[in-house]
Amino acid sequence: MNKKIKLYCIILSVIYISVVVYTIFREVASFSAGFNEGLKDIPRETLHVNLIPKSGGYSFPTSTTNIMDNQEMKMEIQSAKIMVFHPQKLPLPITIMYYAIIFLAFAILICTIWLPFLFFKIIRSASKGNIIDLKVIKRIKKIGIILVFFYVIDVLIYIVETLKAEYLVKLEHYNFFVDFSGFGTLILGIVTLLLAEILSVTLKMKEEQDLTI
Amino acid sequence: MPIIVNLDVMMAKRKISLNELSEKIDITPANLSILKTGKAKAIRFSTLDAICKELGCQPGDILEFTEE
Repeated sequence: MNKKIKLYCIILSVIYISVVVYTIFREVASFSAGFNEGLKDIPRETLHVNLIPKSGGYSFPTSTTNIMDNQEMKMEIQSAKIMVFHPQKLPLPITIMYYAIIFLAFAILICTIWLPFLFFKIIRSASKGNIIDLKVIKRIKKIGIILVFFYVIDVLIYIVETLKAEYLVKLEHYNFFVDFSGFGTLILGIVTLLLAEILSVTLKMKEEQDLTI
Repeated sequence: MPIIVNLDVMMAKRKISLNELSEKIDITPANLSILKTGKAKAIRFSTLDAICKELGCQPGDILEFTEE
């Protein structure tokens, strides 16, 4: 098999496993803290929001102190987790969207578990020299669809969280906004689908060539 | 496909088997069989040349066009 393909497959696998392990170790403390908070019997709503200063970007509306020299510093917060105690009841449309998002979150969880299996099956086929194969092309298409799905769900989650925040909270110096800029996943998904189509055409050409006597 | 391959007809006329023809024109029996059964997508001129030389015929004796 092509040595470069094998090398790239190994590098990609190492990076992927490292990212997964690093994320797990980083998030264990957060998971534990969140779980302990959740056990407390106080009605609360946790909001994940993106913020923009009311007076525009780079206006640094928030102050804090540098404990190194006790100097006042200005800062600007771009994203925050806000915990609202005893929140008022959300309107029905927002509640319905929220539960729809929870349902879609399970779909994301399944896709997140499925994605590495697809990925490693492709690597295994590549290591056996079967890159241009119908099964591999279908798996690449599935990866592309999953990545686009991740972006769409991300945006929907931001929208619902922002709607909840707008309803429950008003901040003195900041407005909430929906961040659409996570285009990396969307672009990667579309490029993956494009690659799958190119490989489909390549497969047809190969089959025709194989049947050229 | 509107192009019909009449290789089996010519082979029967010349009384030559698939294996003999494939040996003489240096094509595998599997590939020649693909051609004979009409499953081929394309034929090279070099292959057509070799078949016509061996069977002593014209390309039109091997290939026939029909309306679908």
